[in-house]
Amino acid sequence: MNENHQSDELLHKRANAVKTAWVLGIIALAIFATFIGSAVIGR
Amino acid sequence: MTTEVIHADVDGSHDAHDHGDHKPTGFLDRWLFTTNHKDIGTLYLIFSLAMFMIGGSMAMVIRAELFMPGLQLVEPDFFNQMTTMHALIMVFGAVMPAWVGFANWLVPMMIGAPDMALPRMNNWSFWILPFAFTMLLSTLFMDSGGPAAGWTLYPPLVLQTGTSFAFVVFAVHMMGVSSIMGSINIIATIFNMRAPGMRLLRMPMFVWTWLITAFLLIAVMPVLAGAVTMLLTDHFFSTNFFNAAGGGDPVMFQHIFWFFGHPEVYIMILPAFGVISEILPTFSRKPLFGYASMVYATATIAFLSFIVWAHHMFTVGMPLQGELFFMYATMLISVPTGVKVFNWVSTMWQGSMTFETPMLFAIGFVVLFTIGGLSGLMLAITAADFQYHDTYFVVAHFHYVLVPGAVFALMAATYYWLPKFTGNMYSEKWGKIHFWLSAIFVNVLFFPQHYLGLAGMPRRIPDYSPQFADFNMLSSIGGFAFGATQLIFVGIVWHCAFRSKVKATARVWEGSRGLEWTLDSPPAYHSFNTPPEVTCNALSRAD
Repeated sequence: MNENHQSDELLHKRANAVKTAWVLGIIALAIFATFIGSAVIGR
Repeated sequence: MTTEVIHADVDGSHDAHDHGDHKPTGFLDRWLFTTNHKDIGTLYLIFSLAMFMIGGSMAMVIRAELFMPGLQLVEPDFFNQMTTMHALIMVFGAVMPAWVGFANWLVPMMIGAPDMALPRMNNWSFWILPFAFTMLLSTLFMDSGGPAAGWTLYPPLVLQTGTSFAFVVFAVHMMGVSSIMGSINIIATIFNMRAPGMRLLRMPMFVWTWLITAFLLIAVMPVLAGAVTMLLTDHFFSTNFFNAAGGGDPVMFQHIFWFFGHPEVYIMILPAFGVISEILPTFSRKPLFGYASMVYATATIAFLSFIVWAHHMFTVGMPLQGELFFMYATMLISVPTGVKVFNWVSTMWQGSMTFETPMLFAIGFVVLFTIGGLSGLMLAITAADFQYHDTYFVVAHFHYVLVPGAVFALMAATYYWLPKFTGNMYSEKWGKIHFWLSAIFVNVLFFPQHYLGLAGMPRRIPDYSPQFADFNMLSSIGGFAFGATQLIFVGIVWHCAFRSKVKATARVWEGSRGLEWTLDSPPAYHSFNTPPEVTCNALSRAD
């Protein structure tokens, strides 16, 4: 439905940005899990 | 260094002739469903202003109660809720979203990108916040009341909060999710969306400081989320992470909290460093002194912020080696910070300086933030900290860092870029009145608190010994006057946005440089649809 005005170059940049976002998101979740996990194991 | 003619396709006005000014027409489409970085930036800034008003009102309650000794206006438990909520709202609701608002507006324009890399996530990052803070504020109206153990949420005290504690924890989780998504977006944008030729070491300092801040946020917000999740399970699910009677350790919470909490201080102040590094060169009409060293100093400060957390808890008891390590590591931060102050002063040195309102706030920042930095050095001395800890000296210290520090930088940024955002000039006369009243009253408000702390007045108390009466009264008068002065700021912003008849030029300031100043004021709704080509350092200030 939406018209897509984005150029191929922009779409390519955005696709790379999504990959970057996934990596950073997984890092954030890993930090969260590490702190909770280490506290659980430590107890 | 580079003096050739600036050659870049940076004319944003051409956007207006294609689809640059196509904005959604309906109110909900424009503001609720928006994916436009400028609109989302505006939403963040309005939200932050509202939170400043709410958090500021709580500060007025605190200063009114402390105007004289004895219990005057509020119950002690409500006073504690005020100190706790004031801090939570100012840190997470006011200062941080204000910086995210400026990042949304400026980062794409500064690097020549058409928008943020992930616009839908950008919308979601913002719209989580009103729900988070409604939930947090709603605890004040619950039977069990709001959190009252201080923003540090130390157990076991915080576990005495009633059922409303679940709302507090969920609100903190939502703020964290918002911050992490916003940070991911900023990093993804800077790494992937820069215009051709905008190399990393050509980026404006504001972009650099935000890039580093975003990494800090991603590293520490999950830690806070973990800490409050453990508090939640201790409170409601009978775990014993921090309950000594069940084999837990309340000091462990302090370590986890401050592993988040100290970098959090830099999350609030690094973007301020970036703003000051943009403004001082403009009004000194000189390039920033030591651009590369500014970048490395910012990164060094960010790294060191991870290894100094225990200076907040010297008095809990720790091995001597630990105390020495955290003392020296903390003192080490003064080296990169000193580099920055030196570079700012050197930027102004022999410049053709003029003193418009953004410059006044920037210079005020350099002077007053440095006072906060120096009292921080005093607090870093382990032996001395045993005297200062938990006194008003600490309150004075961090308010100097955050109010004439982060908040003055926010004011400077507002006056500097508001003409770009709105297309109108603000009233310079009223801006200067706002600055001078703020600069005077912020010192009347916070400087006496140093003396109160050195004389032994504890923080977070609604009543105090009569010997502290005079300085408290002075501090409260400064607080009321400082609060009233900020109403002038609201009036100036409103007038600039809706009533000012003086139109801003594209460049706005004679000495301004950078891609955002090549766009019209206000810029088209969609700018840099065609990426500019940055072929010269002069556009990017790194010369």
